[in-house]
Amino acid sequence: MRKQEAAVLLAGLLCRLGLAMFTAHPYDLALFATSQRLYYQLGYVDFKFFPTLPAIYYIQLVFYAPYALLTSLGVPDYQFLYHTTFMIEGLFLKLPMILADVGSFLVLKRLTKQLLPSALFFLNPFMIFLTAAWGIYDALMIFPLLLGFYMVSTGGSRTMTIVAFVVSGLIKLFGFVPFAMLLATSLLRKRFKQFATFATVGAVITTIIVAPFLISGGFQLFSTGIISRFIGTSTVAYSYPKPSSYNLIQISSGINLSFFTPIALGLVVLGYVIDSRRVNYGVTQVLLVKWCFIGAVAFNVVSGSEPQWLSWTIPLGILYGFLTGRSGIQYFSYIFGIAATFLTMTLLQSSGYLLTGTGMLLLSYVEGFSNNVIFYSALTFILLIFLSAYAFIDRMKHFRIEVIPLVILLYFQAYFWIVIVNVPRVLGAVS
Amino acid sequence: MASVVMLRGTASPRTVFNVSGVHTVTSAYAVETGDTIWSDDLSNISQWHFAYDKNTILQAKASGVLSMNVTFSPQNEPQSVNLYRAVNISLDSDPVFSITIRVSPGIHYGVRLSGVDGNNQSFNAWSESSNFQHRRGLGIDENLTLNAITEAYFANGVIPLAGSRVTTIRFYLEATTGQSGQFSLDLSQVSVAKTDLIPFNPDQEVSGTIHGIVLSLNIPASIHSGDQQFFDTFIGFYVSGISHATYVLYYLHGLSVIARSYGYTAGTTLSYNLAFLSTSLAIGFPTFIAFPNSTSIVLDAQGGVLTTFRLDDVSVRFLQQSATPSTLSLSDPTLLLAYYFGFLFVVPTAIVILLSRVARRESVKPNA
Repeated sequence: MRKQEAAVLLAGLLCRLGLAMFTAHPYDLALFATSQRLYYQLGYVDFKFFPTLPAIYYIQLVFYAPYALLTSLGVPDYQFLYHTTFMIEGLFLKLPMILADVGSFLVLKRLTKQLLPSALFFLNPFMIFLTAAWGIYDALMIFPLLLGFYMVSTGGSRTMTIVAFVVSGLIKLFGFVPFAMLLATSLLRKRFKQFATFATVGAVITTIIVAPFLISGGFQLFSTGIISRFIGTSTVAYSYPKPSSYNLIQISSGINLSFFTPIALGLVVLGYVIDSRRVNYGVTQVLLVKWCFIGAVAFNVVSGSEPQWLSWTIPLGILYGFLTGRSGIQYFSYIFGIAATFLTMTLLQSSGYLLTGTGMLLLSYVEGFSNNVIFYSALTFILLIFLSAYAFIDRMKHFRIEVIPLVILLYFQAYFWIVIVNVPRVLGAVS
Repeated sequence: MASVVMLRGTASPRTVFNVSGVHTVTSAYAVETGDTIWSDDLSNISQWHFAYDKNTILQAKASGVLSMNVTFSPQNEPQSVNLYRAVNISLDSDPVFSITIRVSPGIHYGVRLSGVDGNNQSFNAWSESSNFQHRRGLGIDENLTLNAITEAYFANGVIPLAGSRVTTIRFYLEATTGQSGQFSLDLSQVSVAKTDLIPFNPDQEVSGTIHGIVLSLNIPASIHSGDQQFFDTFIGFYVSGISHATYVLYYLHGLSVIARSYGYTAGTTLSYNLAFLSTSLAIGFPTFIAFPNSTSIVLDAQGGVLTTFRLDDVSVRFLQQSATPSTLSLSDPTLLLAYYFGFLFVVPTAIVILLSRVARRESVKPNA
């Protein structure tokens, strides 16, 4: 078993390291590289314009330091094809995400005491795609989230559990979902001291992380770029290309659903609270994972979701499947990951984008379609429904291999109706 | 963490350049509508001329509103009716035409300007791809604001010479092949105002009826001439506008649009916005041209006008590109794709299949 675990770990690392230097999201990685280069080359702390939560800045600052040292010592670095960042530089920028994936793998392995669930996560193409090829940081949020679940399952320190969830939330706001659930539960159980402790721990960590960012003039970005986007009051009126949303409901209704994100958060916490009444508001790992999973699906379905958000459902689905004895959702999470990777790559970015650094259609027979965003949105919507069905419908407790051709058939059906027949145009969703 | 602090500002070579701060802005101007320099009260039909096919029936009158009723008969080719008049408007005052027009639904229409330059050579100030051509009639009043210099630049690729004049303004209705029926065009306003560029101190607030803001930047020439490529720009500012006012920001190097922002909505109260200008959004062009030889950030109010603007901060970033370019050819990407998909799909999936078989075998063993 140990050998198998090591083999999976090595294979997953090999896949990630093999991709990390040669692939990158040219724009996102250049954003991160710019901030780090500004610090290490010019001494400029880019808090004011760092485009996401400050925790990412700190983490990358630490992981970029060895690279800055290497370049100072004269180690050459090269640009691969049309990428905006250098090859070794890209690896160092992605290193925290890759290590977070390793951490998540080990935590899942500890939690489940089985190799397969953790392997289904660690070798999931979508997780590899996001951390090693794209270079986006969702994995950094997932790791402390899983760590929090682990602490809940082992009955570890409740304060440390809260720390894990708050850290997760400070990397990506979704991580605050279980924190909000625990806060609500302690309030309902009238454990005011516990509530005060949780709230204080959350406030202190948040202040420590966010304060330098706010003090150096980042408050405006924080309020306009992050908070207003989260609560749906962003002043962005329109964008190109349209539609700017990857959400099927938003595209078909034409209504900006961003305002629904905090409502969805409230509903998920409420659902958790109602559900936890059955166990007298006891905090159980299954309930937390279940409602976080529901939250992940809900945010993908009802808000202006981003493709990388799909990754949140994968570890949560696998963990929920393990905790409830549902092998179906664990296996389907893997199929979901393959499909999400393929759809994001071919319908939203182009196959050459992460590989060459420019939007080349290297697989022209499966990309460059009209209505590509609606095509993507419809398929991911259906896949999320499948994932939810695997989580909650008893008849779908176990995985059936026939689901794979079914997913492929769905792709062809969607291609026929959305691209060839052009149903969105018939319905007036596109001009 | 100690190494992080130690290495701050010391790493080399330099692969990033940042031009930031309000002091980067060498001059700032608010673009406002100036005095009206020409208008037609639309009560004298004799000043207007008509050009149309003999099969077309046309009736027109002018009594404060110039109304034109046109009946197209079915033809095997496209048809049009032109309504035009002579004007004499100097482009030196950067004239902006304000037009209120109502065209019946089902027909297309457009506005065209033409004139002569300083050397008496004629030029067109319209192009086929312009927003003012082949517009669909909506049956409601539409307010068109048309900058003559911008339209001339789109049409000819160069800024008109000093001394150029607009000599003709023309409206047309156009019917497609086989299209017939009665259509109307009602012109209720045609006036021309000059553009005023109101200078203001970049670190102070400016108020007025603002159609745009031009911020000329001091970008060192070495950045534009070296290996550096523009990457992005952040600009923070306070802004307010009339209800539903929208605006877009452009980063211009000369007359080239290098980057553009998303469209934003201005609130009626002064509020902060941090706009982000990216090369990936670089489409379109501002509706006005100011300082064509400078590097500038242009805020272009497109729906409504802004009432107040105050710059907070700006940061223009450049990244070094292609210092050591790759010589790998993309003519046959098969190998590259095989490598990519191998690590992304093939290796992980193969291991998962193997593992699941082992897991299944192990779960069956105790029962065997």
